[in-house]
Amino acid sequence: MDVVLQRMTNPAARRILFAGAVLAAALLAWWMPASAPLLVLLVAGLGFWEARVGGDAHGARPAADTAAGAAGDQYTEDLRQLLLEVQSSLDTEFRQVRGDLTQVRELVNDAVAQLGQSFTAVNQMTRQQTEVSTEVVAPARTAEGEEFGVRVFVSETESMLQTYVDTVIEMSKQSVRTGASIDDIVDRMAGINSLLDDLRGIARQTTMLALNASIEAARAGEQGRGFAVVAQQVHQLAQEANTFNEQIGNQVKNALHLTEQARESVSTMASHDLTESLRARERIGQRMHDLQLLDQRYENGVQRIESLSQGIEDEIGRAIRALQFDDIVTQLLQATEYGVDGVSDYIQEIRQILGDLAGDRDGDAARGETLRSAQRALQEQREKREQQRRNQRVVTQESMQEGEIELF
Amino acid sequence: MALETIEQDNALVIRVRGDFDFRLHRSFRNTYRDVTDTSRFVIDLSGTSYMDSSALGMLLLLREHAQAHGAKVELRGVAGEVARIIRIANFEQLFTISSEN
Repeated sequence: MDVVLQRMTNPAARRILFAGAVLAAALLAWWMPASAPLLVLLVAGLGFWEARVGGDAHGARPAADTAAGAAGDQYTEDLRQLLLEVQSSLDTEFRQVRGDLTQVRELVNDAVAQLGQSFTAVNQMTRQQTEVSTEVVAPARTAEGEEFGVRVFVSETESMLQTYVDTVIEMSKQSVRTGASIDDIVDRMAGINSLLDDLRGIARQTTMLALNASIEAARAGEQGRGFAVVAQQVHQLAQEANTFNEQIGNQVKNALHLTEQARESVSTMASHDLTESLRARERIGQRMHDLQLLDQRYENGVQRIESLSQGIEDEIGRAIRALQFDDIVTQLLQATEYGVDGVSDYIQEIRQILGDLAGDRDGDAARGETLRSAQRALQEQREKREQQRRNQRVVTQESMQEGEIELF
Repeated sequence: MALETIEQDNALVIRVRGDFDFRLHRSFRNTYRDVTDTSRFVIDLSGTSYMDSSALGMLLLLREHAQAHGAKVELRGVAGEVARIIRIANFEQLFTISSEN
């Protein structure tokens, strides 16, 4: 009975060991793809070893029947040693993997935090840039809140020029009116001259009358002597009237000369060439037009800057949302660490089971019980871990769906 | 003659040729000073090559005369340099202005 058991146990133990090693390798390969080639080699080595020892056992069955007891102990011991070696190697690898995972997590966290700060700073600076550009374009104001600058200066110059032009036109109007009055005065003067001519005619006729009267007085002789005196006096009066006429005529001539001078002055006052004012006005109009174009250009520029800033802000928002991968990566890394620990526990468990099987000396029933209980324990552990893993996936899925993020 | 007057459609049309300046002030006034029964004075400036401020003063005095007799003043044939002078004087607000002859 013992011999049969030994014979059964050793190949069975080998197969369980091999199966356990394949399982462990598969798990490890899943967690750590980089180590897959190494694990494949290890599993292949174990497979080769299992096949060779199994083959030897079958080929040397008659001899093995006798030496089965001693050989069984040796195999069990070898198995235990190999398993210890495998566990020790894997523990080292797991420690390394765990350390690397922690470092990766810290690096990712630090980088993401730094990126978040930088993006926020860029956002603030972009806003300030927009504010500054708006300020630069806004019209300058005095302490009293009045606008000043080139625009106001040009506008005031235009207003002053208009006042000047209006004044010149008003002055011209008054001068032309004065010119018309001078014309009227000259007309009146001509009227006076005409009247003087009439007076001159009357004086001439009076002189003639006096002369005739003198002749008639002389013809009358002694009786006409008194009348001759009267005729002489009338002649004198006519001469005096003529003298007055001449004096008045001279005064009128002088007055006409003076009005001619006044007309000259009025002409000068009335006549202003507006061509230069016209040019100045047109230049100012052109400047105003240029300023408006410049203003329009500035305004367009500011709008463009604002639009670009909004674009930058949007892009940064998207970038910061993308940085949420930090949470997911952290969760995944934690899950990976947890998984590594789990694989380590599995290996530990499998070794324990193998140890128990090898140590069981109470027969098939006891070994069967050990295997069944081990299977149940592993199954329970697997289900528990599957449930935990499912929960973790849900969390990760949810956090990836969340879009909105508050920037400031 | 630099000045020419025509009666047209119950309006007195005064055509100014060449330079419109102070030398014309007397003859210009004579064209309208005795006209009190027209409803419109039309100044045809299409033949005017130059205007100075005295011409603007004369137009303003004509406007006063017209207003005193309930008549309107229209500036016709306003173009080129003359149009620019008229514009700088803001005469658009005081007169009816057309560029047609």
